[in-house]
Amino acid sequence: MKTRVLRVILFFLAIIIIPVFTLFGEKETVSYNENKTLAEFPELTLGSWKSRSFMNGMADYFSDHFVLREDFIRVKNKIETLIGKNEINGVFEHNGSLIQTFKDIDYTLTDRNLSSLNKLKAKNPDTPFYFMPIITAQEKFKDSLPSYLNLDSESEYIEYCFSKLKEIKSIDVSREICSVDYGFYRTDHHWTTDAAYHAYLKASKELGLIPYDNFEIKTVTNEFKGTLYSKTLNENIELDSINVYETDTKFKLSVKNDVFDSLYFNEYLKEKDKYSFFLSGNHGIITIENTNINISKELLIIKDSYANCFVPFLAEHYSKITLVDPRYCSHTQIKEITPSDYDGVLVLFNVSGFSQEQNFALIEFMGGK
Amino acid sequence: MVFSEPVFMFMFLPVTLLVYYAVPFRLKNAVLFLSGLLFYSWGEPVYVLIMILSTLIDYLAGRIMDKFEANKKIRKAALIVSVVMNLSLLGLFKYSGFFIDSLNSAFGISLYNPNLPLPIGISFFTFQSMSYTIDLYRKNITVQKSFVKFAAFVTMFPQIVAGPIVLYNDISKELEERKIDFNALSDGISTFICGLCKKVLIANSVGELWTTVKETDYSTLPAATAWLGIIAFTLQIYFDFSGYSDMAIGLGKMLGFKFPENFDYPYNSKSVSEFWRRWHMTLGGWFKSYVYFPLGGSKNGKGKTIRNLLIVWFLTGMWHGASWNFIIWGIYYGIILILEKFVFASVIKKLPSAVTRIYTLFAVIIGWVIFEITSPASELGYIRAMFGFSGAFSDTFTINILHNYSIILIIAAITATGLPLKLWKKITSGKKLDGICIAGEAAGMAACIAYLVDATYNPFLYFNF
Repeated sequence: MKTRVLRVILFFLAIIIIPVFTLFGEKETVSYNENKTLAEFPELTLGSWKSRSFMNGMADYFSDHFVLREDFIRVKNKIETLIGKNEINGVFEHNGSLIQTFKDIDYTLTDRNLSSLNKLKAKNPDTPFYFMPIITAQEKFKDSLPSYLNLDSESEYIEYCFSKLKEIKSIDVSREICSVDYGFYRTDHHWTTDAAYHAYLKASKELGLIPYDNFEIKTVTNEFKGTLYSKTLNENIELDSINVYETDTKFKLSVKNDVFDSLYFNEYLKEKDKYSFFLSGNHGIITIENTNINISKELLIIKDSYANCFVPFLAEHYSKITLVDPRYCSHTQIKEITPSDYDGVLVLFNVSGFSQEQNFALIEFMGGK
Repeated sequence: MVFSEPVFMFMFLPVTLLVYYAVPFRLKNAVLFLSGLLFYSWGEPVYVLIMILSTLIDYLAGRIMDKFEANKKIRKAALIVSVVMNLSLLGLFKYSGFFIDSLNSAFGISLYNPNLPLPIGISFFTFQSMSYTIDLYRKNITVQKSFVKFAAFVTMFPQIVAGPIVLYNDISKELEERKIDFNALSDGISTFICGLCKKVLIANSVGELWTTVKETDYSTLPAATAWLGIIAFTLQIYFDFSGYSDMAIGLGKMLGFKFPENFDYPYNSKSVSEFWRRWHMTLGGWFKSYVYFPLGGSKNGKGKTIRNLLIVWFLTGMWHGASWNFIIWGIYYGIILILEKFVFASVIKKLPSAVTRIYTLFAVIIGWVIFEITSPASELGYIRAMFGFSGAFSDTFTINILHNYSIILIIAAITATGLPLKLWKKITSGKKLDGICIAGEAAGMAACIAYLVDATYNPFLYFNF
């Protein structure tokens, strides 16, 4: 009998304490790990009741503010790992690093993206185009990753892309990246500045540049917890550090109507998304001017966020670089850009991002000669 | 609302239970009725009116039958109004779209299809209320004069959405008088948590495996993957449905009701006929007493029995959904049951139980292919894949799902036999080990909450790269 009373008491405590803390406990308004504003308490009206938006709002509110939410999620991830489902939200833990898996590749989307690129090149036949796909951590560790993960091969994917390009030079920096010890963050899906530096050494040859070597290497933070942490909430991974390769060169960085005098933004080092330290994160169009270079030498880069830590190296060599991120660009913005106005066009994406990029076709709206 | 939803478990349930326990007995049925309405309208804020209307008509039909006890014609008329009304609701909301589409494609015409959304639980509550008017007409039960009590029976939240199909007769006594004590409460909590674990920890997990297999191209599906996929579905539907029934039964106990059991380890059956006596028992029982027996059952010779079985199984198939595959699925079972009854009865008795168990599982698994894959062409494609006509036996994807799902599949398969529970009862018989049970239930509930919370976690929706 005693145990029965205990069971009833425990059950009622659970179903009373959880809602009390969820509804009346201290609340966050923003979830950094999910990059969203958390739901507010829905308003009850006849309309919101009939359309069920009140009910859906309640469900969102309740789950967004659930007491000990992230701890419960960690418990779930732990159970899943124990029973063999150790890939959590597409992320695998391997030797103290989190690795985003590259699998189930949709080649039709890749074909569409490559054909957009070929079309743009055909419109600008006299401008040299370069395609520089960047591997992700999976490629570096592929030999030691378990085969049951059923991964696709990034090197084969890169070969496939190269084989489809017409009149576009390919730059393969895979080997250079793999040679770097700390080439990828442990808690984030990006490559490190060290890896980007080695890629720069190789790419300069293809772009006809003499690599600059007077960099001062500084660590700006060693408390970086990136996107892969957010996906897994795995607390067992050592935090990452972010390096920067600095020179004395003066730059002017413009985003829309704002002009800054640095490529680096220290204020982001205090926030969750520390990778935005580079170029202040992703924007539709960014222009970088190097005031030390007097002759006009301009480069257009079509890119994703992998370019953000790489561009500072190239910025030493060009009087102006325009960065176009098709994911954040509007149709009208992209129409203003004409590749033939530049001395070269570099397309830089990470393979995983490129294989899933739905907005890449937007570049077809760029101008031509 | 469904039970495995945080808003149900942590808002609706505690508030409803506390109010229900706090009020004096004469108000408890009213609390049940009102909370049932709230529960139902949470999912169907508009269609709840249909449910109220149907409840009202069945209640009035009952009162009329009672008032004109001597007048057979009026009694019959009242019954017909109730049955026709319930069946028309089903026909209109569940089957009209299907019939119009079928007519359109058969005759190349284009009748307007209103595409009415299906009100949640309509197949359950119409069958429940019909049981009342039919039994009253047959004088198996006495009339319910209180609208609140009758409405509490129809709209009671534990079983309104997904059964079990509780007949009025099952709970008529409890509507008048019921006892809620710590024993019942404690049992109810155990049953509820057990059902929750079945649904959230097992059904949802193996369901993920089936979803990934179902989406693939069957023409290149390796045999091993096809089998793993459909076995996962076989386990998913059992744990999902029986888990939901357990939750309903547990909640019923917490409210002082004893609902009928709905599943009795169906996958242990040694024939398909036995399977259907142990799977969704309340539905089988309903069809038996309100369709099969009135048609004459098996009393009027072989020919009529076969006819009756086919009618019942055609309807059983249709009850599961308005689509051809469900009708095919029903008739598939009708034919197997006829064969078992008239052709193979003696053979099945003689065979060793290992063989008959495998035969039963095989027939049931093929049944689930028909049930779950809507288009007959894809069904054939899937069955071909199971028998190796799509090429390889396995591939790297098979290895991947084996790694990710073996443990949960094995746990699910063993649990489905009921052996672990039997063993546990044997070990603990005569001993006081309830403390371990409580610890296990607490852990199970915590794990369920973790899974439910995780289902709403969407890391980095839009700045992924």
